[in-house]
Amino acid sequence: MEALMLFGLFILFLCTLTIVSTLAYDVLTGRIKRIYGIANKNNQAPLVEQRQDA
Amino acid sequence: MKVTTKVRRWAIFSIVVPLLPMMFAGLLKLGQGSGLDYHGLLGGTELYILSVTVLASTKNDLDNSEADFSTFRVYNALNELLFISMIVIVMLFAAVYVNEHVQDFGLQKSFIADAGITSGVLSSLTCLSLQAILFVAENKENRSTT
Repeated sequence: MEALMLFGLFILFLCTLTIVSTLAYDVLTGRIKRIYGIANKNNQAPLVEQRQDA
Repeated sequence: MKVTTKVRRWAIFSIVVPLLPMMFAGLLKLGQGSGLDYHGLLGGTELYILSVTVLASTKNDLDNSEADFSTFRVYNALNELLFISMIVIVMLFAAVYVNEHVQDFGLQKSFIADAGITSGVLSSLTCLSLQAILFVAENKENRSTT
C-alpha cells in the first residue's frame, strides 16, 4: 500500500514539475507576453499608459 | 487588482485559514508541555482534503475564467494535467481514509503525514503558479474589452 501511495506521489510530482516548468519556461522566455499580448515589439509602452489610451 | 493582492488573498483564504485548526492543535499540544510531534498532528486526512480543495478551486477558476485558452493547446494540456493530479490526490485520500476508518492497511502515521505534506506543498505550488497565469490572462481580457 505504501508503495502504491509513493507511486501516486511520484505521478503528482511529475504533474507539478510539468505544469510549473512549462509556465516558468513561458515566463522566462517572454513567450507568455506574446501569448497574452501584454507587450510586443511595436508597442513597448507601460501598462498604465496603455490603459489610459484604452 | 494587483497580482500581489490576489495572491495574498488566495494564500490567506485557501491555505492559512484551512490550516488554522491544525496550528491551534499544535499550540494546544505545546501548551500542555509535551513535545510537538507533527506526525501525530498531521497523520490524518486533513492535508489531503486541503490539497483537493485547493486543486478543485483552481480547476474551477480555470474552467470558468473569462480568458480564452481555446487556442493554446499547451494550457488545455495543463488543465488536463491538473485534473489528473486531482484524481491522484483523491485516490491517496481514499487510501488514507480507508486505512483510518474501514480496514487497517498498516500504514504508518509518519508516512501518512509526510505524504500529506508532500502532496499539499506540490498542489499549492501548482495552484499558485496557475492562479498567477490566470490573473495575467484575465487582466489582459479586461483591458481589451474596456
